[in-house]
This record gives sequence, C-alpha cells and structure tokens, in this order.
Amino acid sequence: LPHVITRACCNDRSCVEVCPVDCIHPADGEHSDEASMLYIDPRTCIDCGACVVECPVDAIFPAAALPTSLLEYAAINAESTQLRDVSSPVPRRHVVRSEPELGPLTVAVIGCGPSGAYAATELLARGGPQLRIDMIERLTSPWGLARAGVAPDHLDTKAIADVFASRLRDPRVRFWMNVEVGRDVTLRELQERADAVIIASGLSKGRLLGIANEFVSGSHSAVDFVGWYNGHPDHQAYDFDLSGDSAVIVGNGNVALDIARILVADDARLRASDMPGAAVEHISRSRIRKVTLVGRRSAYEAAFTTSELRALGDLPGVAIVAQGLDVEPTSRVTPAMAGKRDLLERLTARDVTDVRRTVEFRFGCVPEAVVGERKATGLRVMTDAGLEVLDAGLVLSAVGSTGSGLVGADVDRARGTVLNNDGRVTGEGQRGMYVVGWAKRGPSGSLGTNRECSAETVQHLIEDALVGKLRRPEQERESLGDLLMRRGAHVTDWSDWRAIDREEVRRGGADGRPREKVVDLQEALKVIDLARPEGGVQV
Amino acid sequence: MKLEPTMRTATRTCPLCEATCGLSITLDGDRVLRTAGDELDVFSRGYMCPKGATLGELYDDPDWLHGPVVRDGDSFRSVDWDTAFARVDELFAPFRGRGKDSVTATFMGNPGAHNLAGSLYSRVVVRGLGSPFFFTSGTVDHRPKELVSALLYGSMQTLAVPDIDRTDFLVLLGANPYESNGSLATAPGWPRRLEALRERGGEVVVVDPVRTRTAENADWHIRPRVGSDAALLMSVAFVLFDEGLVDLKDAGGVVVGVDELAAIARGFSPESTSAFTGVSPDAVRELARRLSAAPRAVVYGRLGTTATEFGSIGSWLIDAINILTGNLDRPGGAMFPMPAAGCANTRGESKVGPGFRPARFHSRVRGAPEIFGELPLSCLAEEILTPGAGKYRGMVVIGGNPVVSGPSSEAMSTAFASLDALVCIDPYINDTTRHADVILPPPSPLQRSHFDTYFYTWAVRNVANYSEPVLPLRPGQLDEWEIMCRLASALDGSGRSAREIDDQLALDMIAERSRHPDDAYYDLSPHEVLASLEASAGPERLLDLMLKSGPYRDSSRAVSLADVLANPHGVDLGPLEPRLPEVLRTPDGQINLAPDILVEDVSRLAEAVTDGPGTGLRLIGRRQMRSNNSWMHNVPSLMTGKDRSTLYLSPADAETRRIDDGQLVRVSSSLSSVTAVAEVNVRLPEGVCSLPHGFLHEPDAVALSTARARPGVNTNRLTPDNVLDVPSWTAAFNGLRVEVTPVDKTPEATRR
Repeated sequence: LPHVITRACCNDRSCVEVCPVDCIHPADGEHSDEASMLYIDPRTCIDCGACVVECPVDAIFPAAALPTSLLEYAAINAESTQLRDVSSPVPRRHVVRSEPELGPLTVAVIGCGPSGAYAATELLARGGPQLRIDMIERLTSPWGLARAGVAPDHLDTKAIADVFASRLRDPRVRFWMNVEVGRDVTLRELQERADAVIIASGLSKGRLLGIANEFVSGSHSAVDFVGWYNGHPDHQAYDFDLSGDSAVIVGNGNVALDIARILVADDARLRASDMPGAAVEHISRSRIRKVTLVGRRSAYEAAFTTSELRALGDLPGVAIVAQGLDVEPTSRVTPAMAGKRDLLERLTARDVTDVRRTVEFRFGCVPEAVVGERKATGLRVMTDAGLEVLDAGLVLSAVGSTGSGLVGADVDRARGTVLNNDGRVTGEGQRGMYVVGWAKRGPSGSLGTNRECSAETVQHLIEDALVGKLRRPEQERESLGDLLMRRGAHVTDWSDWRAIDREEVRRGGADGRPREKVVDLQEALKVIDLARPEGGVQV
Repeated sequence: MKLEPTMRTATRTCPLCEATCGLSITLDGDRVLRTAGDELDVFSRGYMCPKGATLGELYDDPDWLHGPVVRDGDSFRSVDWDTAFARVDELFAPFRGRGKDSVTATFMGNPGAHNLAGSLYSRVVVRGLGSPFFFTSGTVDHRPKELVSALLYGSMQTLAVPDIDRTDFLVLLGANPYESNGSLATAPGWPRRLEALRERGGEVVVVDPVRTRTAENADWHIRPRVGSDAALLMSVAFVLFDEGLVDLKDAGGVVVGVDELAAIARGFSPESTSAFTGVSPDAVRELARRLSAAPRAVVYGRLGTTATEFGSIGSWLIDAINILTGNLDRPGGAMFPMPAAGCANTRGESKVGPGFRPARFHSRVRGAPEIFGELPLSCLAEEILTPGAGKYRGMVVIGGNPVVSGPSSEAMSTAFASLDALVCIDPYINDTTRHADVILPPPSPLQRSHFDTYFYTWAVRNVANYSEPVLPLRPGQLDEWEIMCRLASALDGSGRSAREIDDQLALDMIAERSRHPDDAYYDLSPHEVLASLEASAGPERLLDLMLKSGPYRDSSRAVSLADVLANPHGVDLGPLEPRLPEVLRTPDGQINLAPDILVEDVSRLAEAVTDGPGTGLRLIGRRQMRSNNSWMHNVPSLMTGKDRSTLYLSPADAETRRIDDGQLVRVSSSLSSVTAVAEVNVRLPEGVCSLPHGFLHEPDAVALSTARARPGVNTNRLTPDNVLDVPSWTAAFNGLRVEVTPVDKTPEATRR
C-alpha cells in the first residue's frame, strides 16, 4: 500500500525533494505553480514514508492509517496521477548549501508571515555563520496568515507555524515584534542598518467589488470577517450581524469556501478550532441557514480547490445546491477543471438527511449592487435570466486582497503589489531591497507557494551579495534598538511571543480547546509583562 | 517513456543494507534513469527503500575516487596502482614478520560484508598483514548476539532468526525495522511482513522506550527504561518458570542447563525489577503468558538490546525465552537458516564441534580478551596511543570509518593521525581515511558483482541471488578482489601476483571443505575441484565453489554459479526448516542454557537492579531510513529535506530545561560535549534523548562535498571507551548518561 496526500496539503513541495522515486506530483495536466495540492502516484510510491517527516502540515499518511474522514483520498491520489508516465527519469536532487564566499550579511525581513518565514529559512540554509536576520513584525505574534488567515478549523495546516518556529530558533535570527515600519521605523532606516531588506508584509486589505452601496452596514470585506473570527488584532472592532437567515459571499475561492464552512459548521467543530471564544459564541448564535456563493464565471472556472470543496461536503447536515452548473466556460477546460465541476455536481446530487443548513453556489452571476438603505438586505445580481436580488443580512466580498501599505516602495496601483523584477524591488534607490509573498506576486497560490517564491528572491539576494551589488550598512545593526527606544516603541521579542503562545495554550486547554488567542494588544502586553522576569515592557 | 535503443533495464540485488532487495534499474548508457523494486525478485517482491534508488548517484558521485591516491604532505596525490602498492610495500616493510609481537592491526567495517569480493578476500589482506590484531564494527554493534549464539549453538554464525513470515506472536526489542529494514534477520520488506503478520491474525509486540514507527504499527507497545531489557527478560523467564509455562517441545532433547537458568531467574521477579525497568509486573506476566500461549511465537532483539550495558545477558535471554517457550527450531519460532553458500554450521562434522574458545590472547593496554579472533574497538585508540612495546604503528582499514563509528571519536582521530602507516580500502576521503598514507578505492556498487554470502546466514527464508555487474569498470579502476590480492602481496612483500594469491585462496577454501568425511570435497583432489568450477578466477570461482560444496549439493535444490546466473530474480530454496540437532557445533552436541561467561555477569545485573533507576537523561541512538551508519551522507537525494542530526528530546524534558523546538543545545557526557539542534518530540519518554549516529564530516580535509554541506553531529565524541557490556566487550552506546542545556537562552534578545 502506498502513502496518500490529503486535504491539508499546502503544496510547499518539501516532500517532492525527499522522494526517492519521484512519485509526488500535481494532478495530471496541472502545472506545479498553479496546483492546489500534490498527489502520490501509488504505482511508483515505495511506501518509505520519507515525505511524511518533511510535510509541514501533516497531510501525508500511509494508506493503511488514513483517518476515516480522509479515506477517499487514496482513490483521489490514484486518479489524479493515473496519466503519468511511470518510466520517466527520476530527477537528481541537490542539497541546499551555504555559500562559502558569502561574508557578513545582515538582512531585515519585514513581516513574519509565511513568505517572510520561508525567506528567513532559505537565508539560514544558504547563509554562513556571519549571516544575521532581523525579523520585524507589526504584531506581538508572528506567522501572519498562517495564524490569522488559515481557517481556524484547519489546525493541521496551522501546524506549519511549528515548523517556522523551529527553524527560526536559529541564533542568527533576532525578532523585533510590535514594531511597525512607517510608525516606529522607516524603510530607509532599516536599509541603513542592513545589507538587504526583504518586504514580506503581504496584502492586508480586501479588494473592493466596485459596486453600488458597497459600504452599507452589513456589507463587509472577507478580510475583515476572517480576521475577526481568526483573532487578528486589526479586525476585532467589528460587530457582524448574523441575525438574518441568509448570507451572500461574492467570490468562490477558498476564502469564500472557508467562510461558508465556518458559517454552517456546528458548534462542536467551532469549539475544536482555535477560533477565539467570543467569535465562537457569536457564530454559534448565528441565525444564518443559507450561505450563497456568487461567481461570475462557470463552475469549471470556480476558484475553489477540489479539496476545499470536499471538506465542505464532509460537514454533517449541510446540503449543497448549485445554480448555473451548465453555464458555458470561457476558457479551455482542463481535466482538473472538469473534475471540480463533476465533484460539485455529485455533491448537489447527494441525499442529505436532517438538513440544518445549505450552501448554494451560483455561477454566471454578476454582482450589481448591495441592496438595503441603512443596512444590507441583499445583493442584486445579473444572470442570463436577468436581474435578481439575493436576500441576505450579511454580504461579504471575497475577491482577493490588495494594498501593502508600506511607504518607501513603488506600488502597482491596480494590484497593490510592490513593483519588482522576480523579487528585486525596482525603482530609484532600491538597491538591496527585495520582496516576497503576496506583496511580490499578488494574492495567489497556497501557503506553500511562498516557499519557492521566497527561495527565488533569496537566490537573487545572494547573487547580488556575491557580486558586490549590496551596500554594507551605514549604521551599526545594534543601533536599531536605540532608534526604536528613542521613538518610544514597545519592542517585544521571541520569548515574549513564547509567553503569549504558552498562555494561549494554557487558557484554551482549561476550556478543552487547542488555544484561546490573545486578540488585543494591551492584553498581549500584560501577558508579556507577567512573564518577563526582569519587569517587562513599559506600556 | 519508450525504451530508446541505448536504454536497458538491469536486475540486481541492492548491496547497501542487510535486506537484500531486488532492484530493477533503467539505464541510458551508464546513466541510471530510474530505479524500482524488482517485482519478480523471489525474496523482496518489489520492496525497496530510498537507499536502493541511489546506486546511480553513487556511480556518478564526484567525490568517489576512481584511482588510488597517496599522501603528499597535507594533501593527496593521484597515482597509478603500481605506485600505490609500491608505497604500501615501502610503508609496511618495517613491520613485517613479528607475529604476536606485531605492531600493526586491521579494522574492517560493515561494507565488506555487503560485497561479494570484499567478504571473500578480506582474509587475504589480513593474512598479508600478518598481525593477529583484528578489529571490526561488530564490537560496537551485534557482538553480544554472536557471543550468545557461539555459546549456545557452537558458532557465531549460528543465529536463530525470527520466522516472521509464519509466526503468530512476535516480540521485537530495541529494533526499528520500519527505519532500518531489519538486521540480523534478513527479510526484504520487514514492514510489509509485519503487516502481513497482523493481517493473518498475529500480533506484534514492540518493547522500546521510544514510540518508533515500528511501535506505532504494533498491537502492544511496552516502554521500558533505557537499558533495562536484560532485567525485563529475566523477569519474563521468572514468570515462565514460576507459572509452569516452560515447555521445551522438540528442542527438549538437546537442551541442558534449564535448572541453572531457573535458579538465576528466581532472583528477578517482575515485582523486584519493576522499579528498574519501569514496566509493571502485570505487563511482564501478561507478556510471558501470551508468549507461552501463542501457537507460534518468537522474541527478537536488535541494537537496543546489544549495544548496551547488559547486551550479552539480554541477547542470552532472548534465545533462552524462545527455547523455554518451545519455539526454537520450529516454523513460526526462532529458526536456523541453511544458506546456499554454506557457513560454519553447514560444514565439518554435524552436531558437534570445537565450540567457542575466547581469550586466546589479550590486548596489550587493557588486557581485553580476543573474542572470535577480534579485539574490541573500544581498545583500538589506546593500543595506538599508549607508548611501549607493541604499540600499533601501522593499520589497514577495509571499508570503515572508525573515527566516526567507534567510541571516543576525538581520541580515535588523534590515534589515526599518529600512525606511521595507514592504508585504507575506501572510495572516499572521509574522517578516517583523511589520515591515510594510501587510499585504494573500490569500484562503485553498480560495477561489482554481488551475492550475499553473509546475510543469507541469517535470512528468514533460504534464497540464493547473484547479480552481475551492471556497468563496466572505468579506465584505471581495479576490481576489488584484485585490489585486495595485490594489497596482500604489498603488505607481506612477497611479490606474488593477484592470480597466485587468488589461486591459493581457492585451494585454502577447498581444504576447509575436505577435512571431514561429511565435507563435500573429502574425496576429491584440489585440482579435480578446481577443474569442476565454472569460473577460472575471482569471486565468481569462489562463489561457485561455495555453492557446489554447500548444504544443498546433494539435494534436488542444488545450486551452482550457472543456476544463479540463469535466475536473475533469485533462486527460492524455500522457508526455513528445522535443523536441530545437526546445526549444532557445540563440544557436547547440546545447547547449554547457562553458559559460565553469561552466568558470571548476572551479579552485575542484579546490582544494577538493586541500585534502581538513576536520574538524569540517557542518550540513545536512532535509526533513519535515509542514512546508513557513517556513510551515504554524500548522496544528494538522501540529504535533502530537514536536518536529521538533531537531538530528540521529550516535551517534559524540554519544558524542565526551558528548551524550545529548534533551539541549539549542548549535550554533555562524562567525556565531552557537542552542540545540536533540539527537536522536541513526543515519541520520546521523559528521561531519554536521542541522536542518530554516523554524522560528522566536518574536518577540512574530508572530501565529501554533499555530506559536508549538512555535517551534523558526531555522537561518538560523547561515548567513552570504557562503558561496555562486560562479557562481549561491546561498547554500550545506548543509555549513555548525558545532560542537555540550552546554548542560547533565546535568539539574540532584542529587548532593552
């Protein structure tokens, strides 16, 4: 029996590099950068399990030990790889080596989310003993969207934070948390104290729909909604009205599916997640019985991945319905696209007993305006059949993110990304400036996509360092601390984060939950204060 | 992909570990494109592991030497073979002809056993050197098992192996075949076989402090304290006697010493050992009862039971329990293989033999006894470093890296650096060979023929599988048997040709098979025998000789070189069959369950049990499928991925010491300290930490570019050379007392 990759796969391809027989691939016909997940070809897998150890999200199991909820993945892996040529040559692998010619190198990384963490990991592997990394984080907690973007019920995916934590314990890394670039320190000041700066600050704002009445109460960005139920300190001030019986989500990517799943999940699922208790309370009192996902294009072109759709289909008491399944696609249909639509059709054809809630997919459905005067009451859409109003007390737009908000680098106005050339920031005075993650390529790919994205940027950074294109810092690296103190910044560090981490796990454990997030800065500083042996942050 | 005209598929046995898996290798010219398990292999049936996929990479390894090198100041210079052997002659001339006053010694590593030419011709090198002082990795590995086998059955080669394909109840102690592929019990696809065992309704019990992958796949996991197996097994024996569960069955007729063992076991009730072993008396009793109740049961132990302070007693009790429960020499129990190429228990007179005589001479410095003609590796460094008559000045190393794999690495390295003459047969400039005067590189595995003369002596099924070389030698390369014969000639200064030495070896082997009327060649002249063989020189001639004189020679299953050549997927000789009493070679033709050497060590165990469990951390090793002891770290596809040379620490021990996952820690023993990255791991119980062995590759002179990119930690910097299993003088690598402290409290603190 072979090994099997399951839903949590983040496609960071760590497994691919250790597979001795090259049996791990995207689905047939899918290109690796656009793949949503990877699969093991059971015909060539030798069942050695080398991949299991490498997987950062514990997505790989021996077929004989698959959890019941994931049993179907054995067949899915086999089907997704059946067209591969099993006799193709196995590519020779290379180990990541440190560059012996690389001398002293100080790199500031702005943002401790997945792309920043992957960039630091790659730097640690490639740099020598004279490498120093300053990780700058705006919050008192690291891991960005791995902590506050990945759905709270996907704890396996969130386990990637443990991998980052372990790798970044390297003594060459220093953390400056609760430090905001632009407020406490400028990009220029960081550049003066480092050979190179890597922007890894992501895209923090939801993209607007650009339709009438978008800002009416009850109409929100998915970024805010997800940030709220995931305990992100920036998104706690909202009071989402869940008293209506329907919600509409514009967009049908994985974020939209995550929200739909959370809105229709039962209490047990919410309690088993790491959603803050207040959000669990609020959502468990929700009256929403139906969630509609609105997509402009056809079911073939839906942005969600099949594994996320499957996860939705696994919820007990949730019916899945669809309208517009026969809308014509506007692009060429690949087998993966056809498979996605077929799965949806199969899910809609199921007989669900004791239906508690319904998720409805609408295709070929163009949003026109949010309806409602002082409060959203629905979304007006245009379909082949004409105008229609979808009633909803909650309208969420889940059509991507934009806006790095970082002053000092040129930004693509339409996409919000930092202007760059394969990770080298372009523009006047940007020598030694690099970018990774969403701030580099826009809001695309899965969590693991950042690994190769960051590695590409780091490769360029090291090439530049080796040919002397980087400037040695003008200021002592150590002067960053003095500067921040002069500015009155309340810098917190790695052990402070560990104090919060332990406290969150302790609070959650007391309640039988994986953790209870500290969602408020002042609360976080209090926790840190209590844990610091020498007296704490001056708040 | 369609096979292009230049492409072909070769079938061969993987030579890298003990599992003997068949491989199906697709090549384009001399480039390996893909390696798969050979589905048609009679033994492995398609099973393979990541190491097996690397033979092509080994062939292409830029650091694998393709011709000899000699020392030239601080570096090495490539020379031709004649120059290399002339240099050996010159270096060793001063040491010749001293007999027992020799100032030279040989060390032989594992790879020699994984190689047809290496295993057959090493003896000519040892003889050429003319020194009685011989060391192997056996004394840091499985020597206790061999010692017990020699004491009980009359030969170190007579291992009673677990018949895992037919047993109903298998108890594994200190073994992790899911990672190791199994050892001292050759069975390609151990994991599959364990799964098959459970599928047919059998049960697997794993006794290991660590929740290994093997333990995860077991029906019952018993977690004793590190190093307490011997006491645990004594208590199992106690219960067998105490509850009247002893039933020797068919072996009864040849077993003596049962009462003596009963008297010894009486001192180890489960209640009295429980504090020491950490295993409840109820669990011990249940284990004993289930062992005796199972229709077919067998106990098997590996490194966790041998390279430990009571390795000999533990190994003894494993065999004793198999005997007491009536499971010796019957299907599904512990059985004796009948290897096609023969071994000590298929030659000479059946049933009786000279038995085992240790301590015919002793080491100079510590007075360690020779066992099986070997001195313990723990004594090697001091024999080189301690001044005085008899101090070793010259050494021959055959396929080994004792600086990494032996105890007290720093002393070992100093010792090797101080030698006047060192010649190594090795493909690499590694931590040991960097001290060499001459390095003689063998061809790559794909360029060698292969037959597992060694591992079939403990295989769980009788098979014979020969592989021809897949690729020819490169210009300037020499076959390993020729290297060894010419080295022998250079060492003894005789000027004999490789051919002459090879012929002499063949004649010696014929003589060894013509001493007793039962022997194959008793009635034949050596020249008649030579004429009957299918090859005229080299390992193939010797293999043909061994097969034709082997134990199947008079049966319908007779095999010869021609037969194995005609069957590239192997010749299946069937499941193991009962062999008592003919397999025995003890002086009295009996199995003595209470040999003096072991009985004398019991008081040491009793004292340890009385002293109770100590406090503090114990360090143990850890087997990893993508490693192979101290080599194969230069193969890129095995070195990708996460760091493996990390210190596993239990969450509780990490918490007590305020150590986070990923943090740099210092591991200190009484001898030295190393730094490693901590990996907090729930597989470990409190009080135990683990580092895999075999890593280092850090000194500048080592020419292993991939290995040095990911150097890791050499655990043997920590292991003293005086913590030993007393009867066998095996280094007790498992259970070393260490302390672990954070190197950095936090990453550079930014707070102020």
